[in-house]
Amino acid sequence: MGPVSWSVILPLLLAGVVWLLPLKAARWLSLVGGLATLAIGGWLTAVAALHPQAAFSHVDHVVWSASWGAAWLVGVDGIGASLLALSGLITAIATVSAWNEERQPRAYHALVLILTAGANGVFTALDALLFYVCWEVVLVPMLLLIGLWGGAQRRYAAMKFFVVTLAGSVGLLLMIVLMWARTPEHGRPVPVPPAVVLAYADTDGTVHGLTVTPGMGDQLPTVVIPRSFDLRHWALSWREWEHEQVLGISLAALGFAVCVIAFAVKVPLIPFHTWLPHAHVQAPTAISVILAGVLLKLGVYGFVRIAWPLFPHQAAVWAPWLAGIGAGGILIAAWIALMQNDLKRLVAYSSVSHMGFCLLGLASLTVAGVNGCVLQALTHGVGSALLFLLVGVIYDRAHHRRADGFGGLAGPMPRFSGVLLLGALTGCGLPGLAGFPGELLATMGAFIGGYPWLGVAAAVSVVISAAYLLWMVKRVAYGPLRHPEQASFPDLDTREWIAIGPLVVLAVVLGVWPQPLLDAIRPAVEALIRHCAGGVS
Amino acid sequence: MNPLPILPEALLALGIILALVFDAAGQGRLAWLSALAAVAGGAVAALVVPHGPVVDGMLATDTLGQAVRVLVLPATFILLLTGNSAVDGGQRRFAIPILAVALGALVAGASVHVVPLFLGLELMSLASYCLAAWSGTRRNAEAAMKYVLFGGVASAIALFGLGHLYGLTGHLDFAGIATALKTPSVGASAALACAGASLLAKLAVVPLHLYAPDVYQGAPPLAVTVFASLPKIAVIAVFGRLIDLGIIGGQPVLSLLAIATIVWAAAAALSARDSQRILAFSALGHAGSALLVVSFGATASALWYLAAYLPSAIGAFAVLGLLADRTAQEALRGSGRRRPILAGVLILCIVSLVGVPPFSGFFAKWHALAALARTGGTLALVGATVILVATATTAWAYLRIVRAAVLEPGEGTAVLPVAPRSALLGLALCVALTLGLGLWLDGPTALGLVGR
Repeated sequence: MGPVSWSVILPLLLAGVVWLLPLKAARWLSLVGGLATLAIGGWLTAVAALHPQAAFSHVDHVVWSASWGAAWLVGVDGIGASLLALSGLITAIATVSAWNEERQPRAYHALVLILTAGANGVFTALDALLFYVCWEVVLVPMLLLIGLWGGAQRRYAAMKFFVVTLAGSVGLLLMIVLMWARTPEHGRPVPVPPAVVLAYADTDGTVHGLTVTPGMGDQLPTVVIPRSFDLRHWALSWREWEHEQVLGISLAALGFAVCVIAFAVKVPLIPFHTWLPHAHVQAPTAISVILAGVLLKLGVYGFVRIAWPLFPHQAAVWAPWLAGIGAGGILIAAWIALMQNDLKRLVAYSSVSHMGFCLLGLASLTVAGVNGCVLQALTHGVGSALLFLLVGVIYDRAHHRRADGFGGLAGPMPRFSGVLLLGALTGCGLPGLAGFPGELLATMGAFIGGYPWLGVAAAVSVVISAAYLLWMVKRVAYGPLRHPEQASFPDLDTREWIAIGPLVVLAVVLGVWPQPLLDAIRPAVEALIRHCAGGVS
Repeated sequence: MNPLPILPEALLALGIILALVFDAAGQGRLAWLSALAAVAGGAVAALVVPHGPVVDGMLATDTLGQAVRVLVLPATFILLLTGNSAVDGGQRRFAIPILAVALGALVAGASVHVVPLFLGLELMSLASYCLAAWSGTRRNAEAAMKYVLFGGVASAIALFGLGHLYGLTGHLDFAGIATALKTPSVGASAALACAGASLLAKLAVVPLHLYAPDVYQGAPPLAVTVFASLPKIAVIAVFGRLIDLGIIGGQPVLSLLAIATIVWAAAAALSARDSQRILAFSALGHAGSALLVVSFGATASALWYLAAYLPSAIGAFAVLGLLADRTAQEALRGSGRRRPILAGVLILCIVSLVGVPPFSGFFAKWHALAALARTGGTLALVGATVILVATATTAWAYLRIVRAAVLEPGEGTAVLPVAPRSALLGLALCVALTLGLGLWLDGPTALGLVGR
């Protein structure tokens, strides 16, 4: 059991242990879970940055059922490792933010730990059944966390989140079952390009655990792919999915369609986003942070790990549409954010807007674009978590979130206002802060990939995001103090600084020096682009 | 004739007699304990006794009969334990009709002859009618009356069909009927359709489903739990045997009826507000899914589907009985807050029924979908899609129960029922099975049946 497996199992174990300890100990266990995940993910990211390779590393393989070919199969590449680190960081920060949770703390922190385990499982699973299990495991803790600890309309928000996400992912289950059932029981020989063999060959010459039979003459080498749920094997046999027919369409087309729906609900992409404003607004601050910082990235990761590798031809065919949806989402969500008076709703729509860059970059099918997609996912996790925490800070003081109910808070809360401005500028994509590299790369990808007008639209959206974010800062922090009772608001205290501090540091560092992250993710991104290039032909 | 192979059934019959005697002597607790002992003994016996045809070849204790035993007997044990949470205020004589239903299920599941099949189905039905009227309230009486009338007519039509089948084929044993039916005829098809009426009515498959919502809502919760579990196992096994022998063809009629049942149950559940009604529709939808799987010949997967979802269903009913004395939403509102552990169990069971991994309800669906995908074909894939769409839509209905019991504020009913230890033990078993049974992916193959 390597470190990757522990990143999933440890939070689960801690969630069980929580019930045996006194009430106050629960938050410490949650913090340990988050920090452990951060340590494992951070170390794996560093390894990936220093020793770049396209293949998955630290792969753990424990057989679950030999007859089904299902296994506990986990491993990371640079993308998975960095998202794992993000997951740990955000969980730890959210726990610090919820440090003083008085209502049922054991249940609260146990649910947060299960949530962490599920998210970590999604980021590291290489077995499709395990991926789906972890994908759905996230639903129940969120239902309870929003439904029990949330705001006034928490029940509706929690149930809507649950049902909409479940409805989106049932298609994924059908795809997994079909792809398993359509593989012959004794395996299927599949040709593998020599470049792939070169990129993924292990020390014993096997590719993803499969022996390579050299081809005769100018024939390609082949591997025999057994009937299993290994996502790496399924990616190798992507041509087979194009040939298999299901109800008149190819299995690849069906699979891609259900993948897009399932992941579009999670990202979220307009028009599947309607659950998000409710969920964000009604959830407690810490849960909003986890939702924005980690759970939205599950959707992007699904696109990168499953939709694009398994169905490269479909991705190439539908890329223009998806790029359009991505760019459209950026603009529409930004426009809606401009009209918001509820601060949390504003930040929620800003989240939707920024995630549109991810899909734009991914659909451009260029190295720059996909780099931008993953980098944007990582930096957006930092930026939006920061904004949600800041909104939580003033909600704690004023007990409302209306932008027009504040004004001139720079007087009583100067440091808070400074950090709020920093957070807003990060969200705008100011060069030098974390929001810039990802958006830049994604927009460049759009231009390089042949969508110049979408790139222009994405660039224009920066103006709109500057509008709503800076206007929000103006309404809240600048000008005269409009409500005299707010003069006595305390500035950020120690606990809040501990939660916000790391995000502030990262917002600056990642903006100035995103290179380590790019080093970590680039081999995997380039391998994905090469794989998808084969799908274009 | 070697009587040992039917020792489990004999033990159940002995248990019924003992329970009746003890109950007549006023020893309710001993009646219940003797029922438990009979079921436990039957389960042990089922694992050790030799297999073979018995009763002049009318019952075949082959792998299918054994699979029915392996599913029915533990389910009966758990039902006897959790049944204490509700109904008859300590009289415990509910064990008698439950044992009778179990006995009928075992006999019907093992039958390879028309006579024990009909006897088994009738025993299940008659005991079910008693259970439906158990608490003696007007609602129960009305539900039982509807059940008796509908079930009685269904049985009469089935008998009519079976009689015709005998007249047409000259055989009462399944093998003989199968050989004689190799040449199809309209008369035989009509006779089979009538004969199947009883089976379809027991499963509440469209179009013989109209009695089910009212009966399942009006009967006491313990009765509904029994209806939702034991007869379904037996009927699915019988369908599996009939399809395997070639007496009836699974597709397309049976598959289409199953799909119609799933759609109807999902649609009806959306408008239901009473928790018992929602769970009843859930049970009917699950029965439809199991029928869909068995109609493609995948008997093992269908039975495993039932095995995997039943702990969650029994647990959900039992917990509802412990949380409130009535299942209306107002009674349930906020009751989970005073009993957080029971609320946790309720959430677990409902979420498992929705089909969220890693609980057994999800893996039940998994095996059903895998069986349908293995079969291939348009109808199988349409059925798989229907199951998945139904999953998504019924999630909203299920969550209403969780919302009422756990998420809503309120005090629930003023006086909470006391939770007896046996009911808590039964719940613990349900929870353990919900958590662990699904993870055993090789379950269906372990049932040892053909047609995975």
